[in-house]
Amino acid sequence: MLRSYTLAIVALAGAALTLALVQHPLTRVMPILVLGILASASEHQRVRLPNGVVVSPGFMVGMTAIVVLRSSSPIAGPMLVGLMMGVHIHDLVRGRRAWILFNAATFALGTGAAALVFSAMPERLVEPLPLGIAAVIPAALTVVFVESVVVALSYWFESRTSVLRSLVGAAPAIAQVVPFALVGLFLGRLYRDLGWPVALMLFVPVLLMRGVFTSYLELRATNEATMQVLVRALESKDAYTAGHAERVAIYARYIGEELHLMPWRLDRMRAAALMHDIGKLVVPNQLLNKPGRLTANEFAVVRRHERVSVAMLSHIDFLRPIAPVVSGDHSHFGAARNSGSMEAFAIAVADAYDAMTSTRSYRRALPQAVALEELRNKAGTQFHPGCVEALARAITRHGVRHGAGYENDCESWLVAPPYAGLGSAGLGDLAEGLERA
Amino acid sequence: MTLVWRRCALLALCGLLAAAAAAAIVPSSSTATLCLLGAGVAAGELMVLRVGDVCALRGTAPMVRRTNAELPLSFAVLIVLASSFDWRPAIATFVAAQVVVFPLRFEPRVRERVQRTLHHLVIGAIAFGTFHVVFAVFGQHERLSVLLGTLIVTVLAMVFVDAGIQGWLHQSGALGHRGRRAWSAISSSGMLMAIGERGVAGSCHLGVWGPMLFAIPLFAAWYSFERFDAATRAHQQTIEALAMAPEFAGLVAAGHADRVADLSVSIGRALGLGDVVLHRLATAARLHHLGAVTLDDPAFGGPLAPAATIAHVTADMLRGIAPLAGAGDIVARAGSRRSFTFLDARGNTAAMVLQHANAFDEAVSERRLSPAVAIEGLREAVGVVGPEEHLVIDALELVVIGTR
Repeated sequence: MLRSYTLAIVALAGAALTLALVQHPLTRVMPILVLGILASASEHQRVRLPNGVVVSPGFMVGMTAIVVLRSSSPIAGPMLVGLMMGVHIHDLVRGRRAWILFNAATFALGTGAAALVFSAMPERLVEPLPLGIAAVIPAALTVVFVESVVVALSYWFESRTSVLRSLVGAAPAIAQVVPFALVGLFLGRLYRDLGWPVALMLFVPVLLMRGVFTSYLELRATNEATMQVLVRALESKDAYTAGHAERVAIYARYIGEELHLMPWRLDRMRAAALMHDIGKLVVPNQLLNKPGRLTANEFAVVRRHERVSVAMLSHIDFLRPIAPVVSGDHSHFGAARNSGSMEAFAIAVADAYDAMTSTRSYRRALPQAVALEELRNKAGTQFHPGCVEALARAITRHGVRHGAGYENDCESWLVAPPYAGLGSAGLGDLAEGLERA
Repeated sequence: MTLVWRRCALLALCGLLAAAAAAAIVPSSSTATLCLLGAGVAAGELMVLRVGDVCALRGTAPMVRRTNAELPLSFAVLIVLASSFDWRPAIATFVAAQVVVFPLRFEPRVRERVQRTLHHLVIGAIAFGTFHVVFAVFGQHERLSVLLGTLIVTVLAMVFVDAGIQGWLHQSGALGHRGRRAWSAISSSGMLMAIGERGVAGSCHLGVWGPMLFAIPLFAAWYSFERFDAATRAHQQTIEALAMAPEFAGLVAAGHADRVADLSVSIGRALGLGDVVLHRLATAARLHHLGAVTLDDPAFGGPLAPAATIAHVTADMLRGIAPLAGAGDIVARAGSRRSFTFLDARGNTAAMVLQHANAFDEAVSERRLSPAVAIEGLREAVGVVGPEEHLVIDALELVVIGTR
């Protein structure tokens, strides 16, 4: 089915190109070659952002072609440039011919449709400058729409993914296509009047941007890997907390998404959630894994980890504002109602939820419903009510189950933990046990 | 909205208002365009590409020094001003922009702001002077090649002078790897903006729209630089934070990781190790005791872990992170002297440096020995391993005592 669809798209592009060539035969081959090579080079510079959006300066060259070739071959020229945009060395090396054909046809159709829209506009709208800028926007929207529809339909044929959902997912592309299209308009004018060397100059900042941004993404991944490895080291000290940090980060993200936090706040919250127990690195293994009650001295040693976590997170600039999240004082809703950050409250709820739905050395996992009930009981006093409800909504929406009977990590233990104690976040049970003792 | 954006938005608004007023009062002159470009210079002064090395290590002998070297985006607008307008109003615009932005600068001290302003005024003078002199000589028949050539000479003059000033101010040039990238982005965008603004021989004159639109890729480059800078800092700080763990746990003396890192880098430099090895060595030195925190604590009934075991555990942790694998190798080698004979010389040297820096710091900071006695002790402890080990101790002596 997908193969038939690919053939249909290629045939459609071929037919459209033939029709365009019949209407306006090619008279200037050089600009098409130069811009085609530049377009292909631009597509090689695309960068995938952490949120999945792909940023590519490809249509900048497509728009340049539309402007340069407007008077000679207004549709066929840009379509040919779009066609060359789909030729990617990576795909050539891997022998992905169908992939190359599909991409080339999609780019050709998108660029051709944009050229059709742009060429339909009268000269008086396109040439004078403030109006010319406005005239680019319909062309940019057209290319996004056509390419998104073609790709969305391919997803539908491949995995029956909703076309509407795919189109909505492609909407952020507008934000990056329009500025590049505007630059393409001006580049086209410079190329038209001054020749191709000027067009090459624009590639310097684009290449640099791509190079630096790729380095940034690699470094970001390295930092995440550093945190992950250290979290694993931490969890190797305490078998009962295996996967705890990652789960807290996931639940915190659930809450953050429900509360519509900005992406950078979600990123920061993830890092803080992953490292919220990092101070436990300084707690001796024997105390972390002690099956019975801790003595007062031992409890004081364990409790130190909060201060250490705060000190370690505070050392990292971007985590400093939410470093207090790891101390009970700042994530306790009752105590920090006015001073605590939403990230702190969200991590506190996520931490407590995971602590209750996981087996610990002092207590076995509780059922999910009991854990949520406990969170709701303490909402407004210990926990932020909005965060509690956000977590409950997200869990329902994601259809996931945690707690007794649904644990992923079944550890064997020397001394079986008791089925007792409601528990709370982190050291709650220990603290209560100590008070009782 | 960050402080940079807020201040830039304020300056852009002021520029727009001034341009509107100028267009209303003197419609036919270029004053309105100059007002907008002046606002561009002022905003560009706040948006900088940081070219000082940022993966710094703290301490007295950091591997890569962190400097305030930076290139403002205003240099791109300066190229437009220098090439597209009569020099008098253009210089007035540039100077006025420097005055307006002075109170909005981010440098905390007035002295630093004055220094930065003077530095940029000198670059401005070089840009104006070079362009007008070269264009007066070669630009009688205006062609694209002549204009491009003049712009390239102007940019080269700016780069040369700026590198000299940065070197003088920060004891390091702005023409490192990042500096070259930043200058490439600024100069190519600036030249395109200039060509767009003025056109060539009456054609392709886009006016102020040219600089505005061709600034888009420059903004994108600036954003990338900022993100990279923040990520580098975060990674470095994460490593520093993790280096604190053994100290907080009471397993090593306070400041041990910092001191060993500083000493290792200094010895490595004295031995002529390259930047990549020095960077790995610094990371290895910072984290060489990290593995100890995952082992049982003798204070709470656990067995005392031998140094080789700690090194082995630490190395395994670091090797789990691809970019830190090199540091992990150094820690592993430092923890196992016998393996020196089987390893490459460069890895050997770094591992020996770490081993001796660590032993020296423990002797001086924990056992309170004098540096000279500690070094003598190290010399006596060295077995028949090879001449390199003696070179490392010589370098240690050179760094610590200053003579050999």
